Amino acid sequence: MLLAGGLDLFEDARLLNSDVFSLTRLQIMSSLAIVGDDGITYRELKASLGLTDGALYTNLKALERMKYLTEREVLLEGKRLTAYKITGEGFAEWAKTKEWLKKLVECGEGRK
Amino acid sequence: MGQNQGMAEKACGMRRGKEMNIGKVIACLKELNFRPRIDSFEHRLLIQKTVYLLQLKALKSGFEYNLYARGPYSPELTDEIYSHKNSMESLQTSEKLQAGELKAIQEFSEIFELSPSILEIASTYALFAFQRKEDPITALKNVKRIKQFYSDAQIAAGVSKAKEFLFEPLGKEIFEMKQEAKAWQEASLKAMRD
Repeated sequence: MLLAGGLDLFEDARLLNSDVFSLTRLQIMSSLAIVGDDGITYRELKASLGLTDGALYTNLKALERMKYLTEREVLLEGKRLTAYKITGEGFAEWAKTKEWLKKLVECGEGRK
Repeated sequence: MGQNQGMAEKACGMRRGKEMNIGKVIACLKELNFRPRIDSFEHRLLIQKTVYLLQLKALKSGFEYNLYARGPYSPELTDEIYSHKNSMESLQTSEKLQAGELKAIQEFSEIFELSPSILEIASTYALFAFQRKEDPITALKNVKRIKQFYSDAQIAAGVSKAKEFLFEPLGKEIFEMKQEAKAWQEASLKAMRD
């Protein structure tokens, strides 16, 4: 079993993109990973994450610049809505991040 | 199949349910006379919410739903929708629906009109009130929070339709309703005689 703060964990952390590590970005990535190609509309993300337009837009744009998500328009009841979809790169980064977070939690189990 | 969908399943560490049955979903859409276009965001949403509500009532298609940013949602169903795009769009299946399932679909089509907003609201309310058994006020508050981009009138309509479709009175409630109606019935009969 790995110890808390084990060197392996630090080594693995070098492979991650630290720019994903904010609560908002992790929430966006996990929400988009669940729905895959279906994507989520901007208004759904805003309501479910409880964010202001400024906070949500800034973080979406940052993830888009990292090529982890793409923006597109969808039609719903005749209205054009902005929706976001995770990319292949986004999935790969999310999978790595999640795996690392799991290891981090397991490390903490060693000591109470 | 969408390229990211299978990856989504792996990325989320989900397992496929053993009893998932996309044939039932296709048979259900056929019964509803709804021929979907799988590339349409709106049509995929309609399928997700319709299947969720019908599963709560009677449909044995076996998809597991959880609450996500999009309300009640089954990533496994999305995966199956993309995998069976052609059969879904041509409504081809050999699957037969049971009498109880047909009855539920009939009731569903009488209450709902395949409106995305109404189905989104109704299914979200159903998740809180009927699946999680929250009291109606808490369930309504949760719907208003998650679906805050819909008007109060739309939310009221969706919630009312969810109740109409899913509410099943207990024996005691039926008795109480009959007792309440009995007085009115007697009064009207008396008025007719007089």
